[in-house]
Amino acid sequence: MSLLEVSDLHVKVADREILNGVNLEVNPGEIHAIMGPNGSGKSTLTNTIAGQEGYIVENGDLRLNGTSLVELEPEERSYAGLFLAFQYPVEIPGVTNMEFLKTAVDSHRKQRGETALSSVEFIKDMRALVTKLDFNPEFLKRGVNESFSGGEKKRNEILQMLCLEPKVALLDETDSGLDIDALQVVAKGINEFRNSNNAVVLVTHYQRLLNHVVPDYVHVLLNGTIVKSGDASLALDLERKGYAWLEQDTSP
Amino acid sequence: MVGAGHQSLAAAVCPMTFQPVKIAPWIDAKQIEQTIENTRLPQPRKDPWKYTSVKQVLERLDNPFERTDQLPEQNGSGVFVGDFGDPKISSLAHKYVNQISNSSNNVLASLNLLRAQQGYAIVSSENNDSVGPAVQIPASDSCERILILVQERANLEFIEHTSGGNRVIECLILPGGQLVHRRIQPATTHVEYNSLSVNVMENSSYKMTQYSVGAQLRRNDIVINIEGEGARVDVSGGWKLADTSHLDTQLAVNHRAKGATSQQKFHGVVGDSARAIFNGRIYIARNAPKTDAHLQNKNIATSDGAAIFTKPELEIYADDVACSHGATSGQLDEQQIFYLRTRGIPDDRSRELILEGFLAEIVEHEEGARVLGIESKGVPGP
Repeated sequence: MSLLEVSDLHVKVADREILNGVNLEVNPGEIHAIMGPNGSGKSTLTNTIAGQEGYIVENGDLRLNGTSLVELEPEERSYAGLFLAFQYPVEIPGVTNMEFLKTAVDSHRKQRGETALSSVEFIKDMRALVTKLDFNPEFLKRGVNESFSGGEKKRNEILQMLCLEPKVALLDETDSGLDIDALQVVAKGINEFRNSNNAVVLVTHYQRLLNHVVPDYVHVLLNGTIVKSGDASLALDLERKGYAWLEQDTSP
Repeated sequence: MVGAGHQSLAAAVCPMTFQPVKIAPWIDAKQIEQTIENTRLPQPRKDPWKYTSVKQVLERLDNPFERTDQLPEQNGSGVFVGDFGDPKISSLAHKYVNQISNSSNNVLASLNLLRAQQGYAIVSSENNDSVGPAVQIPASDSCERILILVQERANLEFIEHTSGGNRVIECLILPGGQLVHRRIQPATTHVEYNSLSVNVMENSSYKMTQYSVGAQLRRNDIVINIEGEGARVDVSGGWKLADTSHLDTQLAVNHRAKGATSQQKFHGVVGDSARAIFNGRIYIARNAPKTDAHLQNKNIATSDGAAIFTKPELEIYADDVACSHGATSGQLDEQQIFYLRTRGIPDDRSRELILEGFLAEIVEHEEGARVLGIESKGVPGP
């Protein structure tokens, strides 16, 4: 069974159809990249999968490990094994990163019928994790994304992903706004995360993250539908030729 | 002659239903009554009593208060606590009481002096170099008058609990002195009135925090006068109101000397059909250039029935000043909630977490965290 299955997905936002029949199948151990120009529907796809309000599934289905996500609340999708790394991570002043991570991890544990972790144990685990990722441990004491730089916010998304150990990680433009060092740290986190039981979907504009995290499949999203799929070499073609040639190919 | 305005106060002032205790021989009731007559009286339903019933506050003054004799414990060196009759205090008290509050024409503060069941002063010794344990002003539903005097280059800290009484505090911080004031306002079912007037002299500092939860009616009048160059004022706090609680905070910082700084920062969470009123004012006189003054008030309403009236005011007559002020009232941010939910944190817990964080931003000590019900978060470091 595939881990993530998007079938004939039609989505409306504010009464406008943005996605019109997206199909995608992601199997354990795979890395997929979804590329496309601005306005092609990339963020609509990730927001719909994560359960953002206002994204109305008109037709089709979204399945994670066999379970349909369409009727589930965002937290239930998280329990089912979904993780969305935000393009613009939200700041939550006054809530420390440590407190946030522990609340999230404990919520997952509670859902599995496990008891909450002891604070001491959790802090020890987190310290070890941030060190492994070359993050500054001070990071954990700060307010969630509060006055974080663009790079720090993206690293924080990766840290959350590693804490929650999802089955499918959707990364929305995680490479945008990153300098080379931050890009490498993020790539290291993704490579750290991936194994034969989970899957990664990278949604991106550019090919540069794909130099560090090599995808098994590349899909091109244009005008709300996937117009072309291929292997990693497709990303290089896109880098060279842009999206215009595909647009011409698909125009009715 | 009894003025027309005085008539409306007659019920509160004249036919006393109980015999007030004269808390010090030097209190001249006739003179105070004269002062009241000469002062503009609070007008109902007009600023600064637009949203809070002045009548209820006056009625409370006319109902017998329990007499308390309890003075704050004096467990540190470098500070002296004595009632207004104490020979060590008497002349100081005579000199300052009703002088500091009178500068703001507060009739209620004068009425408080007529009705006070207890009056005492907390005085630092001169030039004490270290702050001893904080003096505790216990909760009381009595009518009290308190004078706080920080001598030159001295330090003083006090923790004040309010609980349904009528309390007027006047503080004088002499040059180079430092006063830390922590005000805790737990739940009460009474009508509570607090008036606080602080005169801050040259190079001295006043730091105050105020944390409040529900009350039937709680009014805090705070006037801080910066009378000396280079003084520093930092006032912050927050509230969490539920049910039909009513909290009204009127805060004015008057810059009357140059080169001083002041900060006002308050966050509030208002739920059910509670009401929060905040009026924050910065006044900068012509002779106060190089002033640095900032005011911020943010509110989150958690129900449709909650009401928030917040008004920042800025009045500047000097050149070369740095000022900012802002006030917001809104609801919880849906994007923040969604972000937390995508991490598996349920909707209700997500809302709690955001509100706790919002309050944690203005909480500076454990007691404050406790009264606002966010003690599980621990105290954020500096």
